[in-house]
Amino acid sequence: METGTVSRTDITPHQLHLINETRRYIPASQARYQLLASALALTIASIRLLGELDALISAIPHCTLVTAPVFGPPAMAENASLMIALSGDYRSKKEVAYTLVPAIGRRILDLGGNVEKGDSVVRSRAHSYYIY
Amino acid sequence: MAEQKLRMPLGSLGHKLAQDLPYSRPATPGQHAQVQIGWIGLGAMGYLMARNLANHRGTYLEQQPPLLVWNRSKEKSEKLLRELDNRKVAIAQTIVDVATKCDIIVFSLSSDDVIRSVYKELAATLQARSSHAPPLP
Repeated sequence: METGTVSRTDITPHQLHLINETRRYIPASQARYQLLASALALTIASIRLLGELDALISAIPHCTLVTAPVFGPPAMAENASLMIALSGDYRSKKEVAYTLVPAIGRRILDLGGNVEKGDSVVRSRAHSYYIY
Repeated sequence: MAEQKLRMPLGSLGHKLAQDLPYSRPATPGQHAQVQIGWIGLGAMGYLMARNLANHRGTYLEQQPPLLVWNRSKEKSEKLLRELDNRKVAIAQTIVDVATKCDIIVFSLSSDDVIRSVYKELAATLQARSSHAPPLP
């Protein structure tokens, strides 16, 4: 793993646990490690940003943040067959799920109410699945 | 009779949705009310998803307002409008338009800095609007 890409001093124990958990899925190939390292750097940045955005939006009355990372290449976006992972307020997810499926995706994964936790887990796992 | 009912297959769409969505259907007013959806960001993925969403709502749902789209470069919004029609897509001039008119806003942005700046502008608009809202009777 490229130590220059993800600095251990910048990450929380929870994020380090996610990295170690993800490492178990990776064979010893340098090219794949580099790809995963950049993916994890992006993931950690995004998790921090998500916390910031959630605090910003939740402070506004009647507004909630639902995160919905989608999985699949543009060809799947073209065919409306993406996989969508939702995290956030339950009632909002319910409304959004029926808006997004079957219009842009084929399936919803519910990752719970915590946008940071749900998104970090699915992104780290999804990157490892994507590599294979 | 009861056994026959159990063996009857569900309608294809209902069966598919029951499999694919881990939620029960929303309350009736939510499904039948006019819901204005806004879309911010028409990149490589965002363009395709926005097109499919606008097309689906315009084709299968009755009396729904067109998808309100906003993109930094207006060419992509105009391209989407040309590809569909003004019954399915409308172009927002600013993010403030999207923030004030929409019930659901979808973001498809790539860079963290862009996401942060767009959210801050949106939040400022929503915060100002909510502070000027009339009190409940």
